[in-house]
Amino acid sequence: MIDALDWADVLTRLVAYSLRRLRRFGVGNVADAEQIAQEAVRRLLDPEYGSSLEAFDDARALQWQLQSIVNGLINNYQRKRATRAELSFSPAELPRAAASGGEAYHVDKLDAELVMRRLRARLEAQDPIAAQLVELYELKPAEQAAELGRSVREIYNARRRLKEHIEAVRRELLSEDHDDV
Amino acid sequence: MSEKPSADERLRRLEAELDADLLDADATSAREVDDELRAGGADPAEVRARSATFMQELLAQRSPEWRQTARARLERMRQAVTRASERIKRTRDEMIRYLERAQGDPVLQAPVVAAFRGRTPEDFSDDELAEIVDEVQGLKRLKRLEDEGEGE
Repeated sequence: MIDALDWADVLTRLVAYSLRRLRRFGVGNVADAEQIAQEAVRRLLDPEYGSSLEAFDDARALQWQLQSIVNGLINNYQRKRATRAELSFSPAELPRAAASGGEAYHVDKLDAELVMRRLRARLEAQDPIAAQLVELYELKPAEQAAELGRSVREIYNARRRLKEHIEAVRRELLSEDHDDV
Repeated sequence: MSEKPSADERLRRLEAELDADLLDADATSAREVDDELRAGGADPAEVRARSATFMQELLAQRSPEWRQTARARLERMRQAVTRASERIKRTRDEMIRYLERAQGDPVLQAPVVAAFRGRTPEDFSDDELAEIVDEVQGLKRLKRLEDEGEGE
């Protein structure tokens, strides 16, 4: 299976994924994204990290493993940026420590409650399939398709629209925020 | 851990799931990947060229011996993780103290920091704390094996 893969495309997709994740966290740049993606593939192929390509019987399993490695590397990347003081906190103090460091997820600092409320209202009016996906976000596309009695292709398209809806809501709220100032 | 996630957590997970579609060739076309790279300030053609070169060099390093070594190490790692799951009985206070010490260790802190993010030890049941302890112990054993491997 591994020899049949278009590895250059796999790595390019991983760069795009890393870049998007870094942008969501408001950190890093293209060079960081490439470095993280390359390191993830290197680790996947490196027995020192306990990986074995024989363990991945299809491209999907490989994709999930790479995604998991990249997420770990991005967490490390963020931790390095956080203050060293975080390391000396007791577990009881950790929530505050985490909030002060690498978990500053939304760069725009919008109220998630408001984003979700506005998103649901928008989806109910415009896109019922995408609205259902909001509730099924923990399922993989194939599982969502089975759950909703839709084709996987329909689900992929709805996921794409859902991403656009979220971005539209964010833009809308940010613009209202600016109008208030 | 069965609590309903906050709106912030739901939105974070939802967007993380949607982001992962970039990795799936069935969900996201090459053109869309290029659009994403462009939106992030990258030149897609350059990224693709660098990716091809990197992978060519990396894959060239692989050999039949590499596969054999990978399999052997994977088996050892699996055994280590299995042993780690043979849980040592600790009291709740002992588990919290253990995790507090692990948090000070650069190698072992990751699962503790991740688990306690936004929560305190009081938010966890004994079983949940034990699971985090297991994870830390697994890491500890893996690290020991890696260190032994370096000395081979």
